[in-house]
Amino acid sequence: MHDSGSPVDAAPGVDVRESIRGYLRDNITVLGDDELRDDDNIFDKGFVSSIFAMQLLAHIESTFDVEVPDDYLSLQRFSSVERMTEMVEELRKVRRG
Amino acid sequence: MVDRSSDAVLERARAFAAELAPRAAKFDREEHLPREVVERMADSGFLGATVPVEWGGLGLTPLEYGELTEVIGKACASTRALLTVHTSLVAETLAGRTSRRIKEKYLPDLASGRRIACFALSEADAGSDAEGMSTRYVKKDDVFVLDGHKKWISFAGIADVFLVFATDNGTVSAFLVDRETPGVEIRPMSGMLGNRAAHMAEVVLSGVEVPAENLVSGIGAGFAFVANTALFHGRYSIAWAGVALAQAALEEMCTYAARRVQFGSRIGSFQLVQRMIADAVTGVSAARELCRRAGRLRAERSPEVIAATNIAKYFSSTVACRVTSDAVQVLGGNGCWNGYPAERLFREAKILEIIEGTSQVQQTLIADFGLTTFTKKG
Ligand SMILES: Cc1cc2nc3c(=O)[nH]c(=O)nc-3n(C[C@H](O)[C@H](O)[C@H](O)COP(=O)(O)OP(=O)(O)OC[C@H]3O[C@@H](n4cnc5c(N)ncnc54)[C@H](O)[C@@H]3O)c2cc1C
Repeated sequence: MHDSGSPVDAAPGVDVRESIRGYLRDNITVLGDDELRDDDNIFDKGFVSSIFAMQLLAHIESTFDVEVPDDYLSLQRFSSVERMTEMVEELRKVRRG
Repeated sequence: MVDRSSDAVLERARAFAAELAPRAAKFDREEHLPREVVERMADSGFLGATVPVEWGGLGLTPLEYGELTEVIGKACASTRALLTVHTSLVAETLAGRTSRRIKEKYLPDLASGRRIACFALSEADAGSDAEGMSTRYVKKDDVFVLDGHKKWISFAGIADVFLVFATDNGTVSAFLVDRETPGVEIRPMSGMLGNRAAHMAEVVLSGVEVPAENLVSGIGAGFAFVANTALFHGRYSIAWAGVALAQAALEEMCTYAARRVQFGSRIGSFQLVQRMIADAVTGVSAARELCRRAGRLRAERSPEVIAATNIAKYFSSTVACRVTSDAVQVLGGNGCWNGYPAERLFREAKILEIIEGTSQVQQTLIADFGLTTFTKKG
């Protein structure tokens, strides 16, 4: 945990991942005994339907203050905690220049 | 130059609807929406209702657009279908997250109604499971080549541009295809239950070469982002279309019940008829409030809006079916005859339970939302 400043900027890797994980846990249909792993394909595993991708996109853009460009809009990039974390980090690098 | 203030727009819509309503039965019978009606919709700015002003649209708020949809939908379902398809499914989607290039090339013409758009997702073997489509694309130099066969495409008979979805081994992408492109063949369809004047057609694509710049969003964005966004807009439109039909049926039902005499009394005094009226009044009020809620959440860009829209679409189309069916019941023999509007409203209402995701698809989505939201944690 971070005790001061802007946690998301201070340690991007950890907090982006944690935040995405948390958002998914709150928004996916009952996992039952299944634990959500960072490399689980949330669409293939049936945790969410593809309509959820729109919601993920809106969440990612507003939470991490990035703009996901057109050519990033493929289900692949939104398919797991791992892939979304990578994407956000890439986009932040671009933003910082 | 049209007056873009929302009051002026709605006033124009009401005046237009008053002229349109008496002609709806003829359009339905002849399975034809005259060009002049499409042009009136365009000239009044309605076809660009949700497109931002900077792109030539009216920039109506979601609630204003909902009201416009109700006004037009109450008068003529096929004319309202043009709003759903052209304005909600295509123009509003393109006004969202698409490249400036696409916007510049298409949006001003769609907003003004100089060009008409349609939405080509469904196929004979791919309906609810639209992602299982077989229309395919391959990239060849600087074009995409499309081959396939779309079915049930409203307004394909007159549209100038088609938003077409195709797959490359499971990777679905969306393309804007101009009607005049070689290899595009339109096969008009007739004999539908409702939306009969909506110029429905099959669209056959044979080696159609689409310029790479007409790819909408990225490769692979077609279903998850473009189609889902379009259907999200379309469902909002259909939800209001349900309110429109139910309101029209309620007015038919009450007017008839207040005049028709049997057993020496007006049938509106019979409690079993009153029950249908009470249920209709209640259903219409509830459906309209769900639509307004979805509209407010749209305006706020709330994350809850997707579920709220599915709920509004599901409820409102169900109410439209029940109220229009009860209107037929209250009108008795006259309800079954095309000398009165009740039978047409009844046919039109059934369509709403099928398009933009059937009621069963909505139930599945709403149940998912319920399980995520209302399952006690821990
Ligand atoms: C008037 C009209 C206008 C249309 N306009 C357009 C248009 O402009 N563009 C376009 O692309 N398409 C259009 N369509 C097509 C429409 O979107 C499809 O008809 C619709 O998606 C349903 O698909 P289907 O007809 O193949 O039915 P199916 O998907 O075969 O469904 C048949 C039945 O099975 C049920 N079902 C299917 N899957 C499930 C499931 N998983 N769980 C429970 N039940 C299920 C359905 O709810 C339905 O009751 C139009 C259709 C009509 C009638």
